[in-house]
Amino acid sequence: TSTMESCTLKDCLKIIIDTFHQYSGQGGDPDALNKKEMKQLLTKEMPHFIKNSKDLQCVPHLFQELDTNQDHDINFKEYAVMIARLAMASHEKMHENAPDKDHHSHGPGLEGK
Amino acid sequence: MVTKLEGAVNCLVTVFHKYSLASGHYHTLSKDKFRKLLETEIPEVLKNPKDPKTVEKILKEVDSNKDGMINFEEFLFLATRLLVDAHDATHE
Repeated sequence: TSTMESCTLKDCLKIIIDTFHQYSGQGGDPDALNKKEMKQLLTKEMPHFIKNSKDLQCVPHLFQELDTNQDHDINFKEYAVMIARLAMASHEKMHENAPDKDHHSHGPGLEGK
Repeated sequence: MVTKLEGAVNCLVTVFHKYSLASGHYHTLSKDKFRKLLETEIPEVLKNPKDPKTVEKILKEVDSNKDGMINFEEFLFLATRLLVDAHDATHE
């Protein structure tokens, strides 16, 4: 979609934060994602990425990796780390899928072809 | 058709490239390109009258391999910090 070219950093930060709150607020700690909330967020908000990322497919494993303070919740900082990792992975995919291998170009990212 | 969140993740890639592709190496931000990014995307970070060398300061903090340039990974490190700060602000 053409909105990709006009995206601003502020807009995308807001979406990332708002999405977190949409799911974290559902139960338990309102500012952290438990396993159930995390699974819902991944399934509903990243259905295309999930298909192309082995990391996202195994939720218990992903949860354990992200939960660095081991409190069985994913707080915002731990979630932000996941977002950054996904951006790296998506960028790598864009280059794997790049139409022009001689110059810098991007194909589809983690969302697939 | 990607979701809003997937679009936002890819937007982090797009924003970086808006500036990195302008000149020089396509995957790095020189100090000038980095300043342009900060000035355009998050100008409030630069409005610190007490610290005229804010761009240099932020660049140094974020430049983990100390090569004087910001690559995509280092940019994401900054983006993570911005996310956490912006998130904390929603709870103030």
